[in-house]
Amino acid sequence: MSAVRRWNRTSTIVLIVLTLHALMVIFPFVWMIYSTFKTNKEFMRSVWSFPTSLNFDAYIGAWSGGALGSYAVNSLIIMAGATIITVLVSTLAGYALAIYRPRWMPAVELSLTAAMAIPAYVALVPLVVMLRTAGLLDTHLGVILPTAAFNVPVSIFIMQAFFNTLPRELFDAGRVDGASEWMIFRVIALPIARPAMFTVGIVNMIWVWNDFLFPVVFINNPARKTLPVGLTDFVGEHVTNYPVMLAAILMAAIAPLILFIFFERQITAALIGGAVKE
Amino acid sequence: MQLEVLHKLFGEETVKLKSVLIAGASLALSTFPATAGELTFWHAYAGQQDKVDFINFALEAFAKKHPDITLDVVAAEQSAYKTKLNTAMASGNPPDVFYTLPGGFLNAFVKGGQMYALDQDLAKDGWRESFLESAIAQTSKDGHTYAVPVDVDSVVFWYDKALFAEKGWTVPKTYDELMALAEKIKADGLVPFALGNKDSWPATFWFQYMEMRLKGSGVVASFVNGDANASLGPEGEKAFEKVAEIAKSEYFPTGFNGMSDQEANMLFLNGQAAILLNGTWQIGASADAPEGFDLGYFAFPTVAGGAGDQSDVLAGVAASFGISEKAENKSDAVTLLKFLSSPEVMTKYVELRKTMVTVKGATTEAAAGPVLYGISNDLMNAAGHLDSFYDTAMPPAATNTYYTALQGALDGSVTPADAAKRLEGALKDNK
Repeated sequence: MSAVRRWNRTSTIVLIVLTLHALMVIFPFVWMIYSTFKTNKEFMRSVWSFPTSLNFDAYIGAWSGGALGSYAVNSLIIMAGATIITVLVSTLAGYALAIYRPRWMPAVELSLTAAMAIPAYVALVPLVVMLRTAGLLDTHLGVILPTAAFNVPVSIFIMQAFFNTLPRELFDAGRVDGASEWMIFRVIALPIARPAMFTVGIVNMIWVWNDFLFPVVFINNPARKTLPVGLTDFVGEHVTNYPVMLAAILMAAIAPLILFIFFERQITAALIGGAVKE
Repeated sequence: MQLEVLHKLFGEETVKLKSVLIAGASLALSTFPATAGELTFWHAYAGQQDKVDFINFALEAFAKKHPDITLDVVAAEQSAYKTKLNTAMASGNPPDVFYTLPGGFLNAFVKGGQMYALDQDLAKDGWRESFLESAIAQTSKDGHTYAVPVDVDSVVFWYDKALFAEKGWTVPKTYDELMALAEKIKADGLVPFALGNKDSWPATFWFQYMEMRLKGSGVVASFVNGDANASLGPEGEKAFEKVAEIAKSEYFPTGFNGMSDQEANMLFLNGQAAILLNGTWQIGASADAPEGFDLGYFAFPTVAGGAGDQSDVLAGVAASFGISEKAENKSDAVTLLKFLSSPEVMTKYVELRKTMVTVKGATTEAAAGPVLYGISNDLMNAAGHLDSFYDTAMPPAATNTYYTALQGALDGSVTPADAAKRLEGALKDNK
């Protein structure tokens, strides 16, 4: 009896704490949504107050002020390109490093670790020179390739760690049955590796989607801007029209939101999957 | 089911990759190098509506007047622009004509031999004489001018006249009066001085004005010009001390070192903070102030016993346009600069942006409005000297030291003596 009551009291406290936490997490979004219906004047008078009337001027301003639609298409192209290349390369390389364990593997691992230690800022100037020589400056591919290159090392380590957990008998069995190495990879390794590939894919998609530095430096043509770069259209040096900026951010968030709703289970699984090693 | 979708996606990845590659290649082909009659023009008039309005006006008018010159325009918001331009310059791929900050930012390019000296062009047709001489000095190095100055920002104290009238506060003339007023405002439950120092530059106005009042104008300029006797003097430590005192007296908002300038501006505009020391861009920033807000200004008050000219004003060139040494088509580039700095375009600049310009006679009363014209005509004309912004005048490496020393002095983690020593050292090491 008393045990039940104590449990109730604890659960009430937990419930209160969780409710407070949920409110703290949700409120910024609610605030963002209702703030978009205010004028900048109302916003300046009070940041927290509700709008006095429902006006959609901020959305009209944000839609006509930038080219959010084409920015989103550019972001999608770059995200898809860089993610596909990274997943492809890291799966193959991770498999090779884990299964074949070549003698020179430590050298490869060392060079990958060294590559991870290079900050993107340091590489900017040489990258611009290389991209210009290759004629790739101011193109989508010119952003995709360096982005993939920077994300490949850590992705290889994730894939390698995954393949290391698989029992080697699995592959030996294939060899005994006379399967070629390519067959073993395609028929045995790939299907099992799908969750790990998904982890790498999701993590990369988030990185690439949010990346600001490479697109802002490598892209000049306004028609090829990505969303994070395009959103700076709404940020002023000293003056910012907040409702319009918030409306632009909300509209920009639609694509990732749809993606999240579709793949919610996989995304959470992918993000948690990296936390504990099985 | 979702895994099936994924399987399909990966099954087709080679096809997709190929189409991405083709798309990339076709995009690559569409970028041509500039030829005669073509100029690449980079600027930072983006993001803020008044900036966009100005550049749209200027570019349209230019296209009408010079249909033979085609501009390939790249725009980026200020902070992104700096990264972009620095990378382009460092990789040897500079735009022909571009927006640049004066002072240390521009001098770094000059040192690298990347800027075209405009001396000969400025000498023709009285172009040089159309600018204020003090403004031209800020885009010159060792007797050569490398960019044409565009606008001038000056720093003053801002207040809401309506709020002051309601509370019965009067505008202070001396520093002691200012501090007494701050105490009164604090007792009334308001924040005396709005300050959002997250980006480090807002607090520099406080330090610089103290140094100007205590020691005089031109302190940092003498370091930059390689003057052997350049020194902050004991006044440097004193200035840090005074600013730190204000922070200690809690006259700034709570957490000001983590607050952005725009957040501090909101405190000021909705009446939670009474006074703000800021640049003339405050006029534009106050455009959306609540009803009844009446923007007024007053000069930085006199400091008793200060050795500096007490009428001096902190004012500097905010932006300029330059031509790269590598530009193949310099005569067209000069044509563009001449057009941008013409009185018609510059008066429009004043009208749209409510900012003073460096071209003589272009800051008209009609275009500027009463507040800006008052500052330009009364305050600045009466000033003994105009001292340009320390943080942009010094080389970028020294600016970083300046920022961290001042932030440290403000939050009490660095003593005023130490802050002054660090700043002096950085100014001596980086010339």
